[in-house]
Amino acid sequence: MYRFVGFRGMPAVLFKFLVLGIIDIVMGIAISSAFAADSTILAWAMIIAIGFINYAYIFRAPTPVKFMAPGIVFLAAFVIVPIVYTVVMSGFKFQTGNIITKPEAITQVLARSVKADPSGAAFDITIGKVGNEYAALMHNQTDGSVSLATTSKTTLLAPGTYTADANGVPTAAPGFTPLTADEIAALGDKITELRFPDGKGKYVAPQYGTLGVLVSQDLTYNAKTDIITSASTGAQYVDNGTGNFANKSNANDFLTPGWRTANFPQNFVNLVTNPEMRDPFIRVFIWTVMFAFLSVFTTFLLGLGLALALDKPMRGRAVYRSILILPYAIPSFMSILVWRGMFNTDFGVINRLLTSMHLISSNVDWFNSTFDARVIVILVNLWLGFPYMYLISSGALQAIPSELKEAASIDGATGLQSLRRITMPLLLEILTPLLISSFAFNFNNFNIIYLLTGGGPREALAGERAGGTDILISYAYQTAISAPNSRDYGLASAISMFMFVIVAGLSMWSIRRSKALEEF
Amino acid sequence: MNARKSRVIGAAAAITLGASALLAPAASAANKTIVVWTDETRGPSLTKLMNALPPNIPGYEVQVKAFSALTALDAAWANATAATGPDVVISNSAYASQGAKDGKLMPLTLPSSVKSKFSAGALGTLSYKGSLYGIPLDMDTTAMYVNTKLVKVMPRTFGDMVKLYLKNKSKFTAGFCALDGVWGSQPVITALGGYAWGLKSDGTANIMNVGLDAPKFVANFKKFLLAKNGKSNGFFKWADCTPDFLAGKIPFANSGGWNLDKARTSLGSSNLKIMAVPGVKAGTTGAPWTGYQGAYVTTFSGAHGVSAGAMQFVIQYLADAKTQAKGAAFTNRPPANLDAAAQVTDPSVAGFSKAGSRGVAQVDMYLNNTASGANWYDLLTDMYTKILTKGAPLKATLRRAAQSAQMDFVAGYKE
Repeated sequence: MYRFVGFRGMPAVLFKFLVLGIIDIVMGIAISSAFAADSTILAWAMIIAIGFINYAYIFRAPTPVKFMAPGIVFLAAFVIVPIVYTVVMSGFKFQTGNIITKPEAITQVLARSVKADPSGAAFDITIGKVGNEYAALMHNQTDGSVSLATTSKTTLLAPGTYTADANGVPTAAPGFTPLTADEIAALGDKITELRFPDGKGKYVAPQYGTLGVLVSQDLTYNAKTDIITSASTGAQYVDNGTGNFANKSNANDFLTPGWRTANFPQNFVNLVTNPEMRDPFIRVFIWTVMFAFLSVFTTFLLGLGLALALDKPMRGRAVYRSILILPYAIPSFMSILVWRGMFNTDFGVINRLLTSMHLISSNVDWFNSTFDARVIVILVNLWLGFPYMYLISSGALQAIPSELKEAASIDGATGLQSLRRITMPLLLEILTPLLISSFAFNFNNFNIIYLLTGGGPREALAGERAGGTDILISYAYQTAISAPNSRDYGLASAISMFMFVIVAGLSMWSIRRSKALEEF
Repeated sequence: MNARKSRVIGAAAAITLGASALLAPAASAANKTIVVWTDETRGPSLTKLMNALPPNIPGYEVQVKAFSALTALDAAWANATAATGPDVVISNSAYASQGAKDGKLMPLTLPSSVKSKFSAGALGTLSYKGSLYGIPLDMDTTAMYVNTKLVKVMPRTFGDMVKLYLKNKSKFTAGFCALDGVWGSQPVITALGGYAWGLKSDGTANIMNVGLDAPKFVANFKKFLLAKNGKSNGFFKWADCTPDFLAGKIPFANSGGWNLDKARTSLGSSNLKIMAVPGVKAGTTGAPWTGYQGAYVTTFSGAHGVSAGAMQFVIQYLADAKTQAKGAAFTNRPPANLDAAAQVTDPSVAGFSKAGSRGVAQVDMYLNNTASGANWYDLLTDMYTKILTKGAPLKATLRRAAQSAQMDFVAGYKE
């Protein structure tokens, strides 16, 4: 008998199709929206995903496929796609000034070359049709003249040959059929694409349904030759291969905006050879490794110490254990912000405490010294991380057979010898994979850096591009996002690629060294 | 698979496809909405404005999405695509150059009848390489907030403020707080004789003359802001001092209209006065940055098929004197439209307007450039920290800051 989420038989079948139908409807809307927004790749990816889901549940797919299908779809959407996108973007010039596609850039370049006529002439316009051709009745706001324009010619109308409203704006003329407000709204942006020539090389361009401005266009694009030509200077701009149209006779004269373009392996080369990028990258990399190592080392040391201390039965052990887990129970971002407040120069409790104990004479600006800030980052991460290490160490200690220690004790081993020779080797064998994953987690621990120090302090006057506590992930974020006028997604993707390779390499190496894979 | 099951499957598939087909056109029909992105202060005031004075754009409706903070808006804007981005974005003048470079903004062509309602400076700050990208809405400028409960006699000079602070040092946590960080500290720099750039005879920026190491500024910095140990005398704070000012522990602060309601609520309207930051000599004042909030039509509006509606909303509605005059009541900021500015009666808004009229046009492509490794604001943060907190040598540090700033400005000019 067929079963589905507590239902049996035909109700189960119907319920399954109901759920599947709802998913299909939602995905159908998303797919049609994606096609409407020209996101063809996304739309096809969603079609494949929904096709796979339908195959898994409608047809007799193997049972594991039914269980794995949602996981596979989400894995693809939220893990594989971002990784692939990052890999692709690391081979692109994708930065401020080179964000959009080439066709979009051409549209923008041409739009920017449309300049209002120095006279500032503007027209109240009524959009309509003459025959089948779009037309406009235009009232010159400056001289009050009225003309009827089509996209091919403009005719001046004599007073009395048209009807105007109270403001003098013409509304009707022989042969002219005005569009209704609804028709204009339905026409949408086609209105702004209309051009009504004035017969002197310029034309009136509607800004919206009721306003037109006299403009001229300097640049024209020839799609066959892929060349943009300036009417005023005669200069020809060609694709310079790095995402811009550049003047044929002066490479430094290029048109903006540019477009994102493949430049592999330039981002990686820059990261290694360009001192402005290489020096901060190396500094940040070294600190990232130190930060991840110290974080794991200190939290493990404290967690293990506490686990050993509480391993033996003692009065109030449950209470102590509960207290030790508390930092783990509080959302980390809240803890980090509280710590940040505690270290605040002016009203932080740390400075007040130290002042009251006469250990400092004036407030210490903790986050303005690289050394202090790094120590604070490690301390706060110790606070956040030791409960986890305590928990896994406690669990691992309980998994070590007590007979081994008893046997050692009978053989005359001291407590320290027993710890060193029996407990630690067994403990490390169990915990190594977790320590490695903890290292990898801290290698990318964006939250603590971003929320606690923001990557700082940064010696801006010395031209430093990375802060003293920036780790690779926060440096990549800063490169990609936080600098408003110099975002470089391509470079940030390249940094991310380095991180991926480093973390993956370290993890594989460590796992092999510990032979932990054999235990999996 | 038996026949019964097949029928069920067929029915389910038919219902699914039918429903999708019915719903898809509904999704397309929603494209006649003009989506406006803005921040947490501008959003509510724009909504109030549109309720009080509804825009008349036949065939379109306007939907405002207010982000929780400017940083949230910045992040969303940075990642905006045709699929996710807005049709209109309202934010500071830095969006003009940045959005133009990224190809996210549409150039605006204004008739002279609209253009003439704005000062050349206002239009200039929202332009990039000769093209206008935004309609100026109101002035982004600052003036000095004075807590009259702590200050009985209005200061005539910068020295008066410092004197008052030093006399009451035990009661105050600082003398002057730049509520908006280093951006808001600009009138202090200029009051003491410093400047980001000098001005040419035609009024444009002379970026080869950065005045962070001007002798007058160096001397006044030392005289008014430093103690004998070479570190801060405690008068000037540029970070983390807002709570203390609102708690009545700092007598002077500098900010724009956006903090006015908060300050009035905390300190009491009658205990607050707005004036320009006084200069070293009586009768002179510091010059704040004068930027403009802009309404920008995005290129995404074209992809959404609403660029004509978005243009109409921005050029016909938001640029209008009546709209801006009404809007000033909700934003406490001086309107950019000159006809609207003339209608302002609120003394505080007038105070900001007066301070702003002595301000320096904020040219974001210079100030945001990072050729030296840091933009103007990060340079100032480091400069203040080094001198005031760490006691670094004054003249050398100011010289270094001036050199770095000049590198940024020159690179910004070339872009």
